[in-house]
Amino acid sequence: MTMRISPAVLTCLALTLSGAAPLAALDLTPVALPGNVHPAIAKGRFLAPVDRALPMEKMILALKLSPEAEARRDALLKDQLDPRSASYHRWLTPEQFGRQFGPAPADLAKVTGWLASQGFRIDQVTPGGNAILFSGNAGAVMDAFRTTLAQVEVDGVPRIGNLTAPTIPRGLADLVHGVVSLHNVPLKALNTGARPVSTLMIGNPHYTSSTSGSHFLAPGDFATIYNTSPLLAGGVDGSGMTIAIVGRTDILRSDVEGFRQFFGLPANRLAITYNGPNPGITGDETEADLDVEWSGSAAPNATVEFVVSGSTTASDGIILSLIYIINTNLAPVASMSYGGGEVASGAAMSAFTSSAYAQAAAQGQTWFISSGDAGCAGGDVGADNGQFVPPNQINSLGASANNVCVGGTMFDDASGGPYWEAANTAIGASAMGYIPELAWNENGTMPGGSGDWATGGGFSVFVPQPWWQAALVPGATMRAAPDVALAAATHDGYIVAQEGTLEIVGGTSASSPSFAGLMALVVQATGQRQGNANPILYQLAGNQYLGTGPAVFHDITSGNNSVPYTEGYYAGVGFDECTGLGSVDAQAMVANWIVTGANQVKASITSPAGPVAFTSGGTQTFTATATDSNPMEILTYTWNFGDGTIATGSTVTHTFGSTTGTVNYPVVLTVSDSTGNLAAATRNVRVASLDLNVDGGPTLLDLLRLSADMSTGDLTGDLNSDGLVNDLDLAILLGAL
Amino acid sequence: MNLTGTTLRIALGMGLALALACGGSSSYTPPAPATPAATPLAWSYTDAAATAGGIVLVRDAALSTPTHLVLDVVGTDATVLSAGLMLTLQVEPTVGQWSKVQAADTDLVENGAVYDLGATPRILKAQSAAGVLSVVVSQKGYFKALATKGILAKVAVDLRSAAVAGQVVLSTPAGGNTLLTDTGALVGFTPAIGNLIVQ
Repeated sequence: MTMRISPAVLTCLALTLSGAAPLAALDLTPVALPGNVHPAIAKGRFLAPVDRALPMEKMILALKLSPEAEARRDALLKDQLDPRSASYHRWLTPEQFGRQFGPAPADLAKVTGWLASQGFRIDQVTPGGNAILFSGNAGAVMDAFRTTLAQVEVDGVPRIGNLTAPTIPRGLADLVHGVVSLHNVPLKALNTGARPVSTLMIGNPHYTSSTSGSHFLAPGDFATIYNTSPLLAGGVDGSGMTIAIVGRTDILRSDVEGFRQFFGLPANRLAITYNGPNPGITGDETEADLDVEWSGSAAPNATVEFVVSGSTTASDGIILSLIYIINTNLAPVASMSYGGGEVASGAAMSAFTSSAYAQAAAQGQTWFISSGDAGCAGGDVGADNGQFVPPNQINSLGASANNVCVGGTMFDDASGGPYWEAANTAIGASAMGYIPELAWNENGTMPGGSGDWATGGGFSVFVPQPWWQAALVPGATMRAAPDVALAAATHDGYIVAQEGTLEIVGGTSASSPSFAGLMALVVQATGQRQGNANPILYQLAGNQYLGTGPAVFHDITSGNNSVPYTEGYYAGVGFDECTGLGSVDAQAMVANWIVTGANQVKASITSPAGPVAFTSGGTQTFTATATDSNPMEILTYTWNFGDGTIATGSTVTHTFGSTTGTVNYPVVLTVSDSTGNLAAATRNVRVASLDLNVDGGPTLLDLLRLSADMSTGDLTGDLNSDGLVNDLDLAILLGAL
Repeated sequence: MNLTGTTLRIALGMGLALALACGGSSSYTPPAPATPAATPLAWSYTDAAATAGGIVLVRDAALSTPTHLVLDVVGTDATVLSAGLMLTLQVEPTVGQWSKVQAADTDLVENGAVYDLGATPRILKAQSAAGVLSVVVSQKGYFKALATKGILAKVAVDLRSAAVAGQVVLSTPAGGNTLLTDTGALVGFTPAIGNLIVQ
């Protein structure tokens, strides 16, 4: 530490004489913080200087951990995921995290003292110790950080921002990363914008149309495609879980309730927290509705905690909501669908979010972040105007080592199939099963697509490769993204209720909250928070792709995330920078989640050993075995046969009646112990119907339908459930006529 | 047996005649009975006029006899591609009875000359009840759909011995006829049916 006393220090000393902050030894020599001028501000049209009295509220000073504390923190994060460690799944509170890793009180006092000396009000030192929220006015900001604030026109909108890199006193350089932002250029909501269902469809029902060829995702479709149906049927539906969603706008509660009622989801699962004054409904309503409605669709019984923080002149409400969710330890799972390219967001934002997610992981929180919608070019520079900034970049908010970055896919339903029923169920679903996927890229060439939209992905320019990524991304030195992916294309967009109407939305804004919903199922099934999910996700993928483990992921091997003027990355076998490890079979993910808790239930269905098929009904005996790590536990076996019938016991017999049309019954076994730990297993039972046309009974006309199925591969005609429609099925039908 | 009123009256009449015969002269010789003219009934079928793009029923002259009418189900439009069909016909059950086209057939329908039904099991099936005949003839799958032109199938109806001369209703119920097209769609059609008479 320098002992030189500069004129600046003398000035500071003079100020300190009237205050309490110990600034005597603080070196106030300004140190520039490069990379903290937003490119949009830098390129914008200067309008006017700012009024020095302009309020600058809730600015975020990102604090730096000492190298020693950072090393201890990272070691703990690893231990918390290591079953051999005494720290395994022993999560910290925000206060514990702050005490263990945050700045020493004296250092904190040094920073807050300096801020106070510059005329700022300290709003909050976060319990985790990684940020100080402070407020003041533009004049104080310009003086303290030796920067210039101005009014600048950005894309036709007047903004406030710093034109030059801010500085901090050299004496604080070891404690402070910088100010997260000194501008009001909003983080980009990573969705494609909403389009009304009614303008996209011909006639009713709206959600799937053999007439228009358009198909949209209703919650029931998602459950079918990503195979949450057996989990939901078995009670692994998010019950008791909370999913936190970041927001900066209010929403209409009636939209969410209407959506849930319309699609047959349980009512009253929404909680809204206003972190400060309610900003009202802003231009982000689409994003907020999407996040809230779809996180709750994937986990229908989970409570969705929507945290709303209004943006200020200096801080984005999204970051304020993130800080709130982490420092109140609000939920085990959280999702954020906003972003900005790393280059634009700057080093302070990257450092701050990395620190924040590390704290969240230490608390057992699992954070999901959209990878962005501008392909390889990053998320902040207008995916629809072609002004991409080289080099390739990823979403700054999703680039840390302690969050799951969620990319986008697009259903490849233009060939093969059929994948969609001609009509919807009562809850608007029509998907018939899993649909093959491509890397999402709708650069204006796909039906239903518009603008330059593609899954974000690539390599961080700030964050080195995390330890858990080394095996599947060999040779890389920086963090690769995304980690996983789900559908994001407008081609089969997500249905959202907004302002009383149904809209279609795409983007990784949809895939992130949806995956957060899936994670809530994991947390419920395991009975434990999971922290950073990536180590287990990559372990599951490694096992699968090496052929030593179950198939949890749908490996997506086609497509790319190139955008105009910039070649991106290509999907391929295993991990790729478009779709990460791939999308998931949720049932397989939950069933195979690697848990080594102190009290663990394992269950399996031993008989029948595989899927069961009946033609026109039949009786089946099911037998299960289960173990609990606590041998004193008495286990409860519950069977949901999928036909509205439930039975208990380790061995049960059930009769599946004849059906109208072929019906698949996901028989779900749930085994639970007295402490609420549970495990699930499934066995599929298929009851075929000879009445292929569902017109009242098997007739000669069903022979024609069977003939058609022989060409289409539609398994309605698969009467013997062998996965084929062939002479064996024909013989069955002929014998019945 | 339950005698009807008519039968009873005839029986009583016969008894009276016998009594008169026995009570009269013992040398009585009854007159020789009159022999009625032998005119066996036969089908008469006038082919339906072919309609554009339609399917018509045409008498198969080679296989038909006076009491065994074989009808060819004929497609007339080569631009329509199909892989199979279901056909339903109804005849007055007191007059006609659906039968095999040829004695060696295994069912009440024969494949025509258009569809390739492949190896057994084949989609060649008929059901008959109360004068209604339903038949299906189809290839397996529609990927190799063919021009719907030519004889698609054959069916036959026999004249019942108790039939009386006159017009016979030969019809097709609505919704009973379906074509499996080259896209896999099941499309309804109405076959053109000619005029059927017993004479």
